[in-house]
Amino acid sequence: MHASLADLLLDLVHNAVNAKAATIGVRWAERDGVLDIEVADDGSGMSKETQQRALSPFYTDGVAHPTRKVGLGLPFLVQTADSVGGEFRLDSEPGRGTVVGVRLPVDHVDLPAQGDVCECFAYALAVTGPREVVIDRVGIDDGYTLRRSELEDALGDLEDPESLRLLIAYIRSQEEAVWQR
Amino acid sequence: MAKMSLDDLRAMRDQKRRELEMRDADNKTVQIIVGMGTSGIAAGAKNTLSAFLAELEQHGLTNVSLRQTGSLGLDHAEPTVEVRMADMPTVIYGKVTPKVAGEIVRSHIMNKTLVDEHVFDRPAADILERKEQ
Repeated sequence: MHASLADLLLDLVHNAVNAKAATIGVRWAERDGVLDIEVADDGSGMSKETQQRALSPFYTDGVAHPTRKVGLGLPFLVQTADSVGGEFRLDSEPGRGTVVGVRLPVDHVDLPAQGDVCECFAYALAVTGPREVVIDRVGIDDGYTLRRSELEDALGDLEDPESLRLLIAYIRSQEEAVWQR
Repeated sequence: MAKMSLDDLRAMRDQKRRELEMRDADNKTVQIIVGMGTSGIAAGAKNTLSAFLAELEQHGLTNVSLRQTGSLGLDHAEPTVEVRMADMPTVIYGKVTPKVAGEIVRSHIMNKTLVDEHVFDRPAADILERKEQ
């Protein structure tokens, strides 16, 4: 099980990468006591049958690792939502892409810690491969948007450790501004 | 910290480039590739990635590319990390906690010595090839 909600988000982003998405959209919105996390991609998508099977921990498409018998990413997300009375949603279509998300009550005692959201956003933006990643962070009164293309324009290669450190500092400054209002 | 703009970020990057005389991505000679599949993340791969970031900064290493990939297929040994560099066999390290990440930077990358107890895959083939030559 993942230690934080940030870890869950990073897992979903890597699922989108594995689905060969050209564009990945992330939404992390906290309003009215509800945290809404969503990852949308334009990758390979899933049929209705595959969507049902993907919720089982004992299913994996076997593409990357043919001998593997488990796939835990989405089951972890479902389990997290179930454990706090949240909602899980999955919408996918072959050739169109996938939208997966959860709505979670932030004051529930069993909700995992959010974790280092800034670091998580930076790592999600720096995933290997040429693709656009757009992260919408919505706070109670304010928010910010991070676009990989703009950040690469400013920083260059995001796999360069120095760029990655600057990116994390930049996101922390955006995050602090959200919570200072 | 004041809220930064993209222009601020660009200026900071330019300053750092000048300070460190950083090479561009084409000249990176070391690749650290962290497995970020579900099992890797559950085992702490994000902390491992952060530890590499801090250790590389501590030693001022600028010729390294820090990359992410999906699962490397060694779930029992997560977090897993592949290291590629000249004059060393390509190695997959397992059970790479933040402490081990520091050892990999200091021993493998800086001193060209394998961190033997965490080697899980690949070096044997490379060593055999070298012996046969």
